Amino acid sequence: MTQQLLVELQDVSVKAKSRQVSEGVFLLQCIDLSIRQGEWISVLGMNGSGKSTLCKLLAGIHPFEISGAVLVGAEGKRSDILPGAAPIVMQHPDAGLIGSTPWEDVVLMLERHGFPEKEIINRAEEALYEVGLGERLHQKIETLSGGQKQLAAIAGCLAVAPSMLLLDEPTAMLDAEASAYVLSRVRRLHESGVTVVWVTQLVEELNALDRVLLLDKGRIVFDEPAHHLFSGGESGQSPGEHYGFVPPYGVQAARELMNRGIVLKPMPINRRELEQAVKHYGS
Amino acid sequence: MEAKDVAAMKEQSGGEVRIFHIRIAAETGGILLNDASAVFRSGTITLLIGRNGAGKSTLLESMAGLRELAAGVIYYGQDSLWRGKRNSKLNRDVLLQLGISMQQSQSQWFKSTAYEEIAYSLKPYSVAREIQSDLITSAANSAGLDPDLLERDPWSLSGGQQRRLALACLLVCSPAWLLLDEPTAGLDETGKRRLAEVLAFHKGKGGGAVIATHEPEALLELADQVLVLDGGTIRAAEASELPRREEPAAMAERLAAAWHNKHQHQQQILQGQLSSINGASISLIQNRGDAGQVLAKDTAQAGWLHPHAFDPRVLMAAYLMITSCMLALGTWRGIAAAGAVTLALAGPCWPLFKHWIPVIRGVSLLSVVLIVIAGLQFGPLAFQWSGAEATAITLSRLFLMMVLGMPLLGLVTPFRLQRALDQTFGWLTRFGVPVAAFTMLISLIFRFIPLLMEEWGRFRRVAKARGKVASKGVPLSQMKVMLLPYMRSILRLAENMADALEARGFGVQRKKPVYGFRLRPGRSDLWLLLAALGACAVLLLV
Repeated sequence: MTQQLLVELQDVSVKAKSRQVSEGVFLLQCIDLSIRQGEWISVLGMNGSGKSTLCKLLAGIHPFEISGAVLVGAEGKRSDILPGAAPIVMQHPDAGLIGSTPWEDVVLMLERHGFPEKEIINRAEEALYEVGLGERLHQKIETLSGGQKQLAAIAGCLAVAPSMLLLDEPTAMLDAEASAYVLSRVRRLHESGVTVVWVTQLVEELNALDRVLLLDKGRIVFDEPAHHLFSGGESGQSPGEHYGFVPPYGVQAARELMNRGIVLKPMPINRRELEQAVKHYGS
Repeated sequence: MEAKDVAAMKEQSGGEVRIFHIRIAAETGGILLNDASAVFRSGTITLLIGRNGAGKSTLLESMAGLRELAAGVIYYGQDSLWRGKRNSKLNRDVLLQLGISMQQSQSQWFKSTAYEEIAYSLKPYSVAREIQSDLITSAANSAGLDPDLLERDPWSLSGGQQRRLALACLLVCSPAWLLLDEPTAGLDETGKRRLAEVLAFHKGKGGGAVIATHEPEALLELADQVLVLDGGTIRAAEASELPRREEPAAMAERLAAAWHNKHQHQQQILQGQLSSINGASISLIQNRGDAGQVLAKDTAQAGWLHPHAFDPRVLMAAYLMITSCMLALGTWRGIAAAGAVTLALAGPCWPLFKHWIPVIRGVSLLSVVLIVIAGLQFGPLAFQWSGAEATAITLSRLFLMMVLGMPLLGLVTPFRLQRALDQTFGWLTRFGVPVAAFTMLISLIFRFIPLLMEEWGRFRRVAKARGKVASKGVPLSQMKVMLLPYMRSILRLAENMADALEARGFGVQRKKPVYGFRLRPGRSDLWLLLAALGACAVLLLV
């Protein structure tokens, strides 16, 4: 872990501000968390577990009351709000886009973030190429699929060069294919060095080596690699199942293989990993 | 259900649904389905698979009469779905036999309790009051909806509960045909099992179902046929396209046996089979980039027809120049010249505004009526052309000006309009006028309008499907019910939008606006200006 520390939260609790519906309720409690450059963090949790709040906190948008320490950057500067706010990609593919083409949208985003005028167009086009929309710069937004719209939103976020890419259930409103496409694109961005915080309710979207933050009632109850999520004892005893998640196909198959004396390491989570593990077993 | 009812249902549905060579056009132009044919038998379940945008939802909606057929016919038993002259009306008897659940229809509620919501679906069937409540409770029961929830506001139910309510709304009508769009999306394992039970029961009593799905695994065991939508047509699925999801235990057993035998060849075979579990879905993902909303888009548009071709300021100037010349015209010769100019300039842009035909038609009709009224003479009642002529000239002029303006809507995007306004009125900022904020607002409004229309379209379809409306439009009584939920839905949309914009950093106000992109008139603008000048010369000389 020699990578640069981006953010550190020490014993941070978050309450809704007055006049909000959930006034005075703790949305997050006693959060200890540090995020390093280049990490992939999957935030897993049921509805109302505090995933979105955590995302907003990291983005620097917070209509909250915060206690505890937020340290930013390698020197650990103390801060009560995260500067250089990172944009979030939200669930609804249509909601966040205001340009009528991907190109317009990203340009508008850069303008709003106050980038130097001369850089804007280059930056915008670069980001769009990076997410795979290079061919569709000037295609009308309404002719894009849901997945492509999400990629356009992701390009906008990338273009403003945030310290990390925050995605709050970006696949929740997409069908299976589009979800897989968006996920694979973001995985590719991560391989090129982008720090990613991916919020999800779907275990199938995890990779075995992802760092998983499992949130339950506003607390982080699990902060380990994904392949530990369903390991440990008999079925029903693992942390994942304890918090109500059904083991995905990869895990079920790996468990059955384990019962027959074949141990796949690390334990595959999704089907692609299962396939890989089976292919390379014993070789 | 008694045997008598089963027989009655079989007779009623006439055994099968047949669709012959249907073609469906998209509202925005282009073809969604082309020459699609299929037969669905009652007492069987059909799965529709195919890539996103392949037309699965379109097919289901067409089968429910929610989309007009550009060609072809759909028969339920002996009855055609559409009837009347030029298929102007739906066959209500057929509509009563089918129940459709569209995607996201579970979040469009019209009533204030779940019970009333189910009763609303039942209304077109004019069921006797005494048995209505029995039907509703039993439908809720078979959909797995807790009886305690029936008095709750549908919007306050959880996502899973709302899906069950949607299913109850469907089942209460006991339709012979169930048309389901992605019924398993977002359901957990228990939910999927219950759905399979409901479908098995439906099939057992002789009902038919057509189900569009992305995850055929969940319902494959029940299915009698699997059809693929591909390139706008329908074909039977090949074996390789069917997911073969092996139980984890069975798969582990085979793999373990193979490894223990250290039989290399056999191991390879097994690996191949495992890969094929994923094969279908992987190839779908790779192709994903190409899947579009419509099959054949208007890609033949000329290069200069896209919104980036012209500077909005030049377009505006050209339009103002020509229309002010038109205003000066007062003779039929002049109108003829104006017509020629309009034809020459707006004609090539026809693809950009051909979806405005209803407006053009409406305005022409209105003009004719006004001209006739202007020429009317009373006592004795007569029509005199001399009285109508001036009106006719004025209205023709206005009509041509309107048509000439229509391409502008397609040639300017909100963003470019915003930039044009920024650049034209930017100097006002010095006097404290928040120009950037205003232009941003305009841009947002333009972006929001299509979303509102889309949402309205979806509401309309849901209301038509649930009300079994046989006419093409939605009757006024239905509108009333739709309005409030629609308002609620768009408010939620606006809220989502505000949230998303804040999350993307648009909330921060800047003192000095930044413009990464500025409009610069180019060569095409010069041509446009020359064309406009030429048009003005023609108009002034006649």
